[in-house]
Amino acid sequence: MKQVTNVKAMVFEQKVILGLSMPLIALLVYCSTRGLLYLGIYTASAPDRITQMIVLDGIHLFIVCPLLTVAALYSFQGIKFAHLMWGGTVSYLVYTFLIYFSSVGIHELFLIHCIILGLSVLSLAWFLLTTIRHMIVTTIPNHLLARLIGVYFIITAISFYLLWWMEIHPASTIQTTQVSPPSIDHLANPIQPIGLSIFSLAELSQA
Amino acid sequence: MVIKVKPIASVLIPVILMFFILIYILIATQSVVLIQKGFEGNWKLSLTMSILIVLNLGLLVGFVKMMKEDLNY
Repeated sequence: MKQVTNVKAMVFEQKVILGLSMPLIALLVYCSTRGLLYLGIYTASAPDRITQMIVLDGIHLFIVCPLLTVAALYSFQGIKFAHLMWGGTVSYLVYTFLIYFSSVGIHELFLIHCIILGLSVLSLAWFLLTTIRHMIVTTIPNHLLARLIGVYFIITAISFYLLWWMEIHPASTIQTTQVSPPSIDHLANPIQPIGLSIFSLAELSQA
Repeated sequence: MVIKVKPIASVLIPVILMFFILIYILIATQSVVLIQKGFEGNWKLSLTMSILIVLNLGLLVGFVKMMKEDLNY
């Protein structure tokens, strides 16, 4: 009886994954296509920022959307590896859209981008919830690769931390605006605080 | 012999690797396109990111092969 309930719960969880992914993919395809075809959308931003946004749209359309579709479909079939890939992809979407909002001015796709960010945050929350509920992996073989991944995480986390700190530190001591990226009037590059506060620490704790 | 780890940590390893692969792809592509369009860009950054993409992909594939049975891959 308990097993039947578990299976029902898992099927429901997989359905939610698909239910969250489909509108997310549809909106991503719409926004990216629109951004690539109508370059005038991002006119409020600096020219180098516009180029970055076009690249972002291209990557969303040609890499992220197919990846998310495959991950969601296989995850729906119960493939655990696909579920983890789905989690990685929605984490990427949350991160990029948070930066996106602090980099681009308000434009006609703003509301849709807000919905995409909302769906991505919900998807990430659902991923963490389901992952905590049903742990996929509890032990790792004492393999050289497992140690290598730990060392790699420590090295990259410390390297990025130092790299960003070297850029932030001079600006913080003389109390001036930071100059990275130099062509826009932002007080701080959004990548650095998010990276310093979340991702470097996450990597270190993983390692 | 196995390494006992916090369950959430073992699950998040492929997630973090996947996340960084996508981020590195984005940074490397943006850097190359910026240089091509005549803006300030950095070839060294693109090269470093490309190396990191390959490294991350290698680790991800290795991890998945190592955990084949758990991940029903």
